[in-house]
Amino acid sequence: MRRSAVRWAAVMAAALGAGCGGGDEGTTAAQQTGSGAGGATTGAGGAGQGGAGQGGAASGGDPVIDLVVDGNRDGVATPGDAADEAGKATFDETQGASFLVNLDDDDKDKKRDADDAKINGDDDVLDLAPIVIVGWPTAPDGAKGTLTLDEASVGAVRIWKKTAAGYDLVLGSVGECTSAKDCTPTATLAIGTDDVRAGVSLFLEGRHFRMSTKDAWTGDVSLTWSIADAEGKKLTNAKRPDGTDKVSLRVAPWILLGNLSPFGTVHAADDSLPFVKGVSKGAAAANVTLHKISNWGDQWVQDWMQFGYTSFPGAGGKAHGMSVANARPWGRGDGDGYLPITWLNKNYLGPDKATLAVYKKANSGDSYDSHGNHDSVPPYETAAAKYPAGRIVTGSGVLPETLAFYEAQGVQAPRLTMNTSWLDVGHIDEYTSFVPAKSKRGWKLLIASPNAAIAMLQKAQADGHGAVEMFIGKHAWDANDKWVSATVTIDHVLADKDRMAYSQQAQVQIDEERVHLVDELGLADDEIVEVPTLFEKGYQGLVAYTPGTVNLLQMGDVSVMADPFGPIIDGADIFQKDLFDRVGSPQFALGSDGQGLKITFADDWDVYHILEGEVHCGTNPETAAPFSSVTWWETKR
Amino acid sequence: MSTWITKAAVAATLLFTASAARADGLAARTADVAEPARGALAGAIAADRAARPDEYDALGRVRGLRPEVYQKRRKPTPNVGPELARLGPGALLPMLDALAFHAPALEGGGTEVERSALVVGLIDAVGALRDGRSGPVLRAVLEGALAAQDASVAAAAAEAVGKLCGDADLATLIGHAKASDPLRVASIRGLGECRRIESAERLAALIGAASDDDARLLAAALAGVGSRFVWQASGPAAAPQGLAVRAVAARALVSAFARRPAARGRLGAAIQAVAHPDTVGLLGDARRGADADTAAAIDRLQHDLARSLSR
Repeated sequence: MRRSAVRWAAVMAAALGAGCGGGDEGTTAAQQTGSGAGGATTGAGGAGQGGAGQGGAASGGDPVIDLVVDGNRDGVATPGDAADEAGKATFDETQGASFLVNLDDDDKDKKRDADDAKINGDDDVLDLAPIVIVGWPTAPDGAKGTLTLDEASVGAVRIWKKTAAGYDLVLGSVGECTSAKDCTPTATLAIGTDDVRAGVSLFLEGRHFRMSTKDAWTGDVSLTWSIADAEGKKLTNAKRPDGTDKVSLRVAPWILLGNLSPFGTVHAADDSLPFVKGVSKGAAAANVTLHKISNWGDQWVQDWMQFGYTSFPGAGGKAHGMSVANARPWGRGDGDGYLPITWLNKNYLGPDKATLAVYKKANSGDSYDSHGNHDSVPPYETAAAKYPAGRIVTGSGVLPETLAFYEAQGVQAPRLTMNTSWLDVGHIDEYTSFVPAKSKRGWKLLIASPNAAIAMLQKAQADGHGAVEMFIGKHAWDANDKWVSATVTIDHVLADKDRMAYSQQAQVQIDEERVHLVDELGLADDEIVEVPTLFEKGYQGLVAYTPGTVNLLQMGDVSVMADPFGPIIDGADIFQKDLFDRVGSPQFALGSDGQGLKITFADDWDVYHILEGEVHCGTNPETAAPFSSVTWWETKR
Repeated sequence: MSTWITKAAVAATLLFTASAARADGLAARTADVAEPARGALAGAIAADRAARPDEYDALGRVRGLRPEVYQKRRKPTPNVGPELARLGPGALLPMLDALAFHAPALEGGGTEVERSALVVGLIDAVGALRDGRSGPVLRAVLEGALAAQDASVAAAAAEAVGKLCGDADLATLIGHAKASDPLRVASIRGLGECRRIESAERLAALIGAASDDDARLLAAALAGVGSRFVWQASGPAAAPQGLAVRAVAARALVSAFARRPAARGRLGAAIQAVAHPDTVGLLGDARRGADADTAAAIDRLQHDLARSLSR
């Protein structure tokens, strides 16, 4: 990302512009600072404070007590810019500064940028929020400034001071440290006379997201600036009668991607040729890059990490940020080497690719903490509430610190909860998916339906096809390591009282949850599309008996579903045909053009289905900047 | 490692601490299997074991208990019920033997979690066979689970007993469905598997006086007893019995739906599961004289019912 140059120049010029004409330093003010009233000037006394009415202060004149942030969200902190000034200490849908948690690795040293005590190149600077202490060129000898960071923010941020030699870490969590307890907490920075006169360019980086609404740190960072004379007397001016200027910046939230996100890459384990072939076909149709993972012993790629992003206004006000992969707390073996965060830090962490772990204890949690149980409802609104960036939804369980983290992000809260306790694995993706639709809402809900599956099989039976087999060529293990045929006839399935009973239990749970979702999301009947699925018993709950086609990978209008291996009647798999007729046709106006989703099937039987998962469980899509058409800072949340 | 394994381990420890002292099988003492079934089974098992000892020994090394197998599952816990069921009816006697007569030696000793999974898997697989010979063993396992305070085993055993649903099985479940009985929840679920008019009537009586939480549990059980799907699977000959059972379930559920706003989500879903032909009329009767909220809820349920039956 080299678009840093413009913004970098603007920031630096802004910082130094104030002082560039002051005293005996009278060199050049950058032109980018000249847009504000009064503008920066190149002459003596050109403090760039025109907007504040302090430009051209004569020696001994009014003190310049001015902190500037990117209040107008154009990516630059511009002294003299009335819009930056207006947004310096507030935050609403039109103005206010923010900052990123800098968890990517721009210098590719496999250490997150917020964890080391250096600026990791020009691209790293792009991830920092600019702050300017406007210079007071005519400050008297002995004048000293004090910049103070609010105490609650000290552990959450680092503030860097630009120097001729580079950057000094001066405020917040100082030192080479990953954990705040290992950092040196620093809340106050003394600024000498030369810097008071010249002005200072600062950069703020977040170390961590807001983790809980109960934390002392609200996610808002406050900085105050004051100047004292040689005797220590606080100086004032007409605009700052208390001698203090204050700015605030809000931490950018982590935002969970949803099925309607504009995906660019999809990750999948490279351990099943038929599966990868199906996913690859769908990815190609969606113009999405398939990244095959071949160095990790967990094929449930959806579960052990979750992609979100964080962003703030970058150059030109466009969203700038990074993809952030949130790791599941536990791995499939003892020791740190099995933890998902280990793989992520080794293999994913990089420029604009960040890693995150919100759990308090490694190897805590259970199946509910897998990310197939955490999703985002696409943007919607009801009479009661608006969710312009979507709404986080989770199933049963989930570690309290994870839930607290989701709530603390705010923009996709309050979280919606679905009951998944009746399922063996216990994930929301086992019976629901959100897909694009040409409708006012822009999406609809697919929901698993035992009713639909049984009705379809009963019709086939009534039409004289009861002896037709399904799951042809498919197998499952018996207890004695024999790979036995899973093939059954329609008659056999419909006469299986246990599978009918378990499917009925599933339908009861789904019907109850359907009522809940209609109430919460305001869905109409035609916004819920049933996907035929039979259930059976797992160890501690129910699990899909027929390949769970609702557990799908959605990329744009392309859906990759589990091949259902249904009965072939009149040359067509009736499960596939049912999907094409309703999900893949204009009947429910699915897809962005309303013509239906573009369905491809992947054979997930051997490696996923018989191990209690399907296509969604084995894949994980992500996206890059700008991440979304919705910018969180404009959402009023 | 993780919470669910910890919970399972604690439960399993309780079970096997107790069973080590008391049980001859994995889940019950031989002496707890009622006579004369005990003697008959012991004889049959001895003869069968002599004829095919490998079938018995194999239960100590079932595939799904191996960590390299179950660690690949989406939920990485051992689960052996389905793979034991695939062994078919020929595995009944070896499985009963393992449960109540001779605990098999697990390959590598097995962890508590693996042993617990084997017990639950054996119970599930035995229950699915619906062979009356297993009743005395499953009932002994159910009582043994009470002593061992193992909820997983109790739930599996009650469900399996419900599937058998002979007179003794039904009596056991009804006996434990009483208020304050430690096996009440499991037994109510078991009654949901027992598709007899007596089971439906017992559940209907219980839901009439249930708390909201209990109403949800009982609604699920009534949905099971009256399941439209299961009665359809039972064939035309069972249809008259099915209609009678479903009528009992439908009446109880509609009545509870009208009286219990807090449990309406589950009750409505259960009413749809039963889908007795008289349901629309029952709802109409309940709507008369109902308050506005109840009337609206009934209207919505009727709409949902029509939708779910339209496929």
